[in-house]
Amino acid sequence: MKCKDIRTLLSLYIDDALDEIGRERVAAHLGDCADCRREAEILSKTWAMLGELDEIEPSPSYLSRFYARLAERRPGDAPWVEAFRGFSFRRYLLPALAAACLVVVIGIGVVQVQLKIADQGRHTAVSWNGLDLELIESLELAENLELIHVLEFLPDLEVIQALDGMETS
Amino acid sequence: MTMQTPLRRNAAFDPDVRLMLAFKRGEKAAFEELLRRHFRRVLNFVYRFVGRRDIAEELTHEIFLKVYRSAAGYEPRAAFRTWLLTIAKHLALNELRRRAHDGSSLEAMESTPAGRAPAAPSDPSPPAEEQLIRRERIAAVRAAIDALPENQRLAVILRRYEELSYGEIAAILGTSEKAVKSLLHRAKEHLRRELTPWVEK
Repeated sequence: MKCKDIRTLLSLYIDDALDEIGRERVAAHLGDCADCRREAEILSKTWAMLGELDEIEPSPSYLSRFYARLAERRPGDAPWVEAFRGFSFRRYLLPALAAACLVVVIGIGVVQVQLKIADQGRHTAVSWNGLDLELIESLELAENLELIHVLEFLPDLEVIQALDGMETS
Repeated sequence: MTMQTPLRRNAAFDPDVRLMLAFKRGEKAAFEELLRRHFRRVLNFVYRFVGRRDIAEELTHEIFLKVYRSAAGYEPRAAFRTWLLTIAKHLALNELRRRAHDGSSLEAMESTPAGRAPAAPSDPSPPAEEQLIRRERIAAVRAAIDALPENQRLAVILRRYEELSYGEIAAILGTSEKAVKSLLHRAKEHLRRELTPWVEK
């Protein structure tokens, strides 16, 4: 293998990520080629140098700080948001929305029917306005007067019957 | 009987997965155990990626809040560590992009800005200056890592510090093992160029 090919494999070689055949080929080349050996050494050292980066420790109060943050409401959350968060959208909300839509559609239908009936009623009232209505009212009044006259006549009958009795007795 | 994938079977043996499932069932102590086991590690992962301690602490709290709130829907599809670091990667990337969008810089109070590595040492250091040299070397490493593109930087951190396998890194980055090898190859070439003056002396 040429040096150029070996160089592309060096990063995997120093990371022990080549298969056995690849590893043996690179190792054989490095045994013969000082330049590639030096290149492998630098690559290995720079990779190792990354280990000099400091680690940091969590602040001593990290647990209490975590629970304090957990207790905070998230910015912009309304009080109901937290309760709503655990709600399973697919399981509950979609059927609920479908039911709500159905109610709205039925509601619109009912209102439309009621408006239509009211409209018809208004037309009827309009047609009864005028002479026809007066006629009906006067007929009703006439019937009522007759009934009143009959009712008023009943005591009179009693009086007549009583008088008749006096006369016969 | 439901068939389990090898990944799911492996996940079932992961003690952290068992702790997460215990927390899902309502055992709060299990979550606290997860916090104790992983907080430091996640903190350092984020710190190495974003380069700022204050932001890393803030983000690590966010990551564990996310874990806490994900418990109800948690399904062990991967090793807990892989799942946790995937969440960490998402939140850290979001933060970097948000800051880039807002124009708020990540340039460090405690790290060297990306792309401006400190000068290599010019002469052998007297013992009194060892500490200074050490700080400069750390700053050089920090600068070299910060100058990497995001995906290469993540691959380097996951491989060098988290010691994850190529497969695990691929799962976290949402790419193939081959792509991870390529990312790491390019990253190592960059690091070699930036850090050679420090290792040649």
